[in-house]
Order: sequence, then C-alpha cells, then structure tokens
Amino acid sequence: MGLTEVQRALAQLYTSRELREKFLANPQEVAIEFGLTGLDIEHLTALSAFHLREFADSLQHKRLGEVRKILTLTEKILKAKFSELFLEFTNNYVPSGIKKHRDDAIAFTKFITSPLHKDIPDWSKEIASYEAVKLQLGEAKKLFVVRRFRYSLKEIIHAIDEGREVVPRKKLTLAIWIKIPRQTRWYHYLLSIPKF
Amino acid sequence: MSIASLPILGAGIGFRDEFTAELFLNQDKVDFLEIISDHYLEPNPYKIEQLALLKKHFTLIPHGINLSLGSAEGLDKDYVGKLARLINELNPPWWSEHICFTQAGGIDIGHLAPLPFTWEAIDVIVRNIKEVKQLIAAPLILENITYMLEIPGAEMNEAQFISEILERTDCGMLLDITNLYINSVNHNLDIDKFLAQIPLERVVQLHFVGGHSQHGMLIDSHSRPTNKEVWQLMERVTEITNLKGTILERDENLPIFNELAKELAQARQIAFKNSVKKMALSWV
Repeated sequence: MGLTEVQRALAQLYTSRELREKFLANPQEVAIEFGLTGLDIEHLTALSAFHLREFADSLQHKRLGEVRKILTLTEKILKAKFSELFLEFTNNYVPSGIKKHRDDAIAFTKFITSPLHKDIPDWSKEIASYEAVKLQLGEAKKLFVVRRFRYSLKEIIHAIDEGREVVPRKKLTLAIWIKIPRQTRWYHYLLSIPKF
Repeated sequence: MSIASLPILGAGIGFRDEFTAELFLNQDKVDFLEIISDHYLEPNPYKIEQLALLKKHFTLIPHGINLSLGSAEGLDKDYVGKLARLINELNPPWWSEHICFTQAGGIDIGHLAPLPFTWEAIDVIVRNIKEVKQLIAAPLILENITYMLEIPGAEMNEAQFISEILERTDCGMLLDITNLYINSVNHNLDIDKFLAQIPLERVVQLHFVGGHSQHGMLIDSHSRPTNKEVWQLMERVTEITNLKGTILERDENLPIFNELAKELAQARQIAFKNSVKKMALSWV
C-alpha cells in the first residue's frame, strides 16, 4: 500500500458525497474497503470531517462557477434553481479531461432538460438545449448546423439581455449556424416562422 | 536552472477571455500574460487564432492546472504530450505548474488537491517532474497551493517539503503570496519561518489576488482586489528575492479593466522599485 491507494481514496472522498458520508460515518470500515492498511488507514481516518466537507463543497462550487460562466442564458433564467440543480447533478457526474468544464456544462443541460424535471418550463429547457448546441460548435467538423425549437428564442434572449421579464411565445424557430471554410467565425441566425 | 539568466518580465495578468477587448485597449499597462495551458491543448480554430494574436502582442507564460505532478500513478502521457507540444511551440522564458495532485484512479478531482508532506510524495513528484523535463525545454517553476484540509501523516512542514522538491528537481518557484497568506491564516502557518526555509534564490515569479472568507476560513477564490496583507507580503518578498515577474490572477467578479491595471501598476511599483535598487547597489 502507499500513496497510490491513498490518492485514489482521497479522489473518491472529494468527489462522491455518498461515499464521503459513508466514510465519515464509519471511517475505519470504508478505509479498509479502499484497500488501505496499517498507517494509511490511521492517516486517512484522522482527516478532519469539517475540512473534508469544506474542500468537497469548494470543488462543487468551483465547478458551478465554471459552468455558470458557460451557460449564461440558462443561469439567468433559472436563477437560484440553477445552483440547486447543479449541486444535485454533481452527485452523479464527475467530468474529466482537458475540456471538462465544457463537457460538464453540456452534461448539465441534458440533466436540466430531462423529462424528470417537470417543474422546469419547456422554454427554459429549450434555452439550455440551445446553449448546448452552441458549445458543441467549437468542435463541429460541419459548416452548417440547424436545430428546431418550439419557442421564439430571439424574443426570449432579447428579454434576458435587457433584463426584462421573459414572456415566452410559442413560435416555431430554426436556429442556424453557418461557417465559411477555413474561417473560425460562425454566422448565426434565429428564424421564427410565422403562423399562417 | 539558471534563474539569474531569466529575463525580467515585469507585472502581468492571467489572461481571461472576458477582458480580451479591454486588454488590447490597455496593452501598454500589461507587461506580459500568463495563459492557462489547458485552454490550448486541444484548441478549436478560434483558440488557435486567439493564441496567435496574444503571442504577437505579449510574452506568454503557460500556466498548467491539471498536469497532476504529484500523482503516484504517474503522469497522463497523452496530456503531457499535448502540453509539451504547446510549450515547445511557444518557447516561453519559463512555464509553471502546481505542487499538488488533481487526478487519481481515473477521477479528475477538478481542482488542486494537497499532497501529504512525506518523503514518498517527494519521490513521486520528483520522478514525474524529471519525466516532464525530458520533454519540455523551457524552465519549470512550481507553485505553492492553498489547502483546506491537511493530510495527516506529514513528515515535515510545507516549506521543507517544497524546498526539497525544488532542490532535487532544480526548478524555480512560483510563490503565490495570496496562497501563503491564506495558509498562514487557515493553518496558523508562520510566514517568517516559511520564508526562512524556502530557497528564496529560486523564486522567479509571484501570484497575487484577493479571496474571500467562508465559514471562518479564507478561500482562494481569485474574486476580490488584492488585500493589504498580501500587498505587504509582496513588499517583504520583493526585498529578499530577485523576482522576474508578478502576475495578477483574477478570475471571478471581474471589474472594469482599469481597476486591474491599477493593481498591476501597484505591483510594478513594488516589485521593480526594489529591483532597480538592487541593480543600482550591485554597481557600487
């Protein structure tokens, strides 16, 4: 046993609320389940419960801060609910890799738009989906991306930008992104189709 | 590593997308930029263009956040390869990473996690740094982190731990004076003793910024203007080191750029007032 096993145990304690609480309730038993022995058990079980929880919370809040900066529209419409949902979401998902914050944000939009969240209005879910598409454009190999929405996203986004109350209107909308070959910029159009 | 031969870069700022336009409008107030390496390891066309633009106008110092130098499992070869490619291409005067681990058992912790201050952890980080140095030509400087929890089983204090790593790897030090101040408050760490124990001649660069307080602990949130205790610490540290650069590391609650520029001017005045004095003395 040694540092490898201790770091694996710590990484799990930092990122899994369920495991952390199980460990704090019965540190000796969980340390053995981690495969630790001797002094490593002694050291791990001597961790301060207060500081362990504080550190784990700070990791969650750091993730929240990053995702908030990425999903700016969704954050503005969901307000306090955004943080509440995100903290729930982090219990079951830990992103990894170089683009982890972007992946975290995309995974979070999937969580928000899940049918399980019946209390989130459909138009809010559409804003989250719209932001997810934008995030994936950076990696897109395509030159043309189009998505269909049921609400007038243009009106919703204007209201958010101007700090007005959003009055969502159902209006079939096509979100279109076009890129000229060898250029980095995406040209974006939101076209709402009038009802006949 | 010949620290004396490194160029003096002055007072710079950690680059953030949010202030790109203001940065170019205030180019003369920023001596150099620190970029987060991870943002350019798998760049999309926009990031490639951004990096080229930044490089054209500023000296860039890559700052890594997820190399996980303290991982006992060893380094992620794919990540190291990408990092080496980026840094070798930029050819900076130096680059930096943290004394910590961020990954273990396939889990990305998401932030800098402290190492136990043990001989085993030193052996691990020294081994990993030697591996990285084989691939990256530019000098590496290592940063002290804040830690909310202490890992039991320490065989030495933090300053002894850092010193041993610096000496054995021949790396420079990125002394984060905000982190040092925060640790001094949160863990009753004696700053004088810390400064007396680290190899001050290896200090190349500083990080500074303000944080906030939560549940009785100071948090390194990079969210506030630099507090007076950190400015005082900068005064002390610049008196006893030969700094090459200092970076304002603001991430959250970004104010108008003019406020950041004022902090840079203050840092420049502190750091370079002393450098000029030392240079003048060396001529006597």
